[in-house]
Amino acid sequence: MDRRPSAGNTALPDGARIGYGSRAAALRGPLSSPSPPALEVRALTKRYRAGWLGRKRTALAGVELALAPREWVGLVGPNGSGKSTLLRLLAGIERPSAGTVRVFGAELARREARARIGYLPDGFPFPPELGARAVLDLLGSLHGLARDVRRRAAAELLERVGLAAEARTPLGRFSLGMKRRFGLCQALLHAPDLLLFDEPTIGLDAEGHVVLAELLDAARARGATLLVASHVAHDLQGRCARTLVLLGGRLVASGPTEEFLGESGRLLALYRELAARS
Amino acid sequence: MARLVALALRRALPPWFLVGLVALLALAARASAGAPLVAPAEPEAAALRALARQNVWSVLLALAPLQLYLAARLGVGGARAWLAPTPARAATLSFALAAGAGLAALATALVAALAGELATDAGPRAWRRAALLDCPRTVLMDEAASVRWSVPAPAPGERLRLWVTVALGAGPTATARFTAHAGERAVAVETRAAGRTLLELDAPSGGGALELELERVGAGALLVLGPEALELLAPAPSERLDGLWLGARVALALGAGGVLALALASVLRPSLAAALVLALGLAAGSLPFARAWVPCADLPQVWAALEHGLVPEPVPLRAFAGALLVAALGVCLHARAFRRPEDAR
Repeated sequence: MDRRPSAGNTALPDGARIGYGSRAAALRGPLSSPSPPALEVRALTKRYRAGWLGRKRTALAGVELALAPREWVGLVGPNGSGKSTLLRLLAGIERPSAGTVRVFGAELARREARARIGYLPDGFPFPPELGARAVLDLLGSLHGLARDVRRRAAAELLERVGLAAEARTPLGRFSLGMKRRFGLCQALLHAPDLLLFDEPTIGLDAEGHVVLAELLDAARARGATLLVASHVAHDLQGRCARTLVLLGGRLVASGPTEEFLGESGRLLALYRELAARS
Repeated sequence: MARLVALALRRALPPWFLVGLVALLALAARASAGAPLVAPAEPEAAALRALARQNVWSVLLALAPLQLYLAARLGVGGARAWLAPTPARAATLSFALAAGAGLAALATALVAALAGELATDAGPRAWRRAALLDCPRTVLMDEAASVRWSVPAPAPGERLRLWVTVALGAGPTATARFTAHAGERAVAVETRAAGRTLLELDAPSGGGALELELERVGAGALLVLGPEALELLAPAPSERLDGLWLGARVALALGAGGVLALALASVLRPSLAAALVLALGLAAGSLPFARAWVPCADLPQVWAALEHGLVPEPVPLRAFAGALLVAALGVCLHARAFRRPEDAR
């Protein structure tokens, strides 16, 4: 399947962008400046205390990373390599032990930086007692979207991912696939310029894969930047021009996706080879 | 903001908790709704009504740890995982969550107050303790069967309540007569005292000090006048104030405690955070210099006032201030834990 954007494919969140509330627009700041990287990470380190003795474990060690605007980058690595930790740090959920994160030139702590991020977590932290529409409405208000804009965007996104009929169903009753589709909705609700997707295809059925591809195409069409972590080489091939490899909390390689993954996309062989080298 | 407050309220007061609370309150109210076998005098009837209120409020006090736990769950990292990526300010998010926890405490206190007041009738007259009056400590026996002392003249409409205790002598009971003299006018009440017995009379109005006399009439047990035996009671607007003042204390304590538990839950497990808040509250309530600032620290005194058929004192202003301080501390702590990476620098 060709996942490249087609000329006639208009992104759903485009409508939402037109109608941003003044607060949301103020938060986002000027979008026209091409100079700063979409994402700039310097010496990012994360250490945890683990176990009875509270011994420190390094999850990420001095990660350096830069994504140009509109660049789509894949992030691969075996279990426990730090992919999800890196994305949580970039989304501002966790606090780094050291290092800096800049989004379009602004420090992550600044609201205008966070307003431009759309994060799809690997888990499902959303309140299970609320319906999809209610949570989207709440998140839209926290993003500063005007009421009619966020309601329209939520309705369109729910329709697009096939959850319109379940808009009032409590999220706790959703299946895994429905939860992932909802996760896509909340990540794209405010038409973010930087997408951080953690394992977006887990739990999605065949139709869900198509929906995801359409939404990503739409995001690419409006110029979004993407960093996607995945265990599935197929998710990255044909979509990401560059792939980063994370091993043991360190970025050990970066290069063209097709070159890294090859046609067969054998990630295991790649990990073994890189581990042997390092 | 309002939506987040509503969500926090819903999570701190989930439907299953509310339904269970109402059911238990209804059971407690029903358990104390029976009519007494012997029609009691007014002070005893007031005490019975107070007992019914205590039954109802006991349910909420027993569930307080669970309510604190539910509030603490709002502050765990799970909320951060979906709220932190938004551009909303950490202080705004923390305040909204804290407001939800506070509203949940207010709602439960309101439900308990409603249940308590629906379960009991209001008495014909309500009284509150206006002052403790001086009273000699003595034992009345055959050789010295009466004692007289004087107190400042009470205001019109006020009432004197004297507690006497029986010490076994020639029999298990004794007849006690309590008289108040105001110039030429005198008012007396006489009763058979057994155990700890109260004698109550409306203070006669007249100029100058009030002369009081307690007599042991005839043979029988010894009558003991102990410390804090004489109370001056003033009329209170209504017995319904019981629910109001109890509810205010409980709402303040649960609200402030819930916000603190929410904040502590960002670094502790919710159950540990709730237990720590309870322990801190009990410890602060037992410290003489701190207890005035802790909303429910005077609960034993309030409980005793209810048992004696009196309307408890209003919530002290310092308890209000203490609750606000604790809640503000909780919001600050939670916001600090919620801050984005570079904010901490």
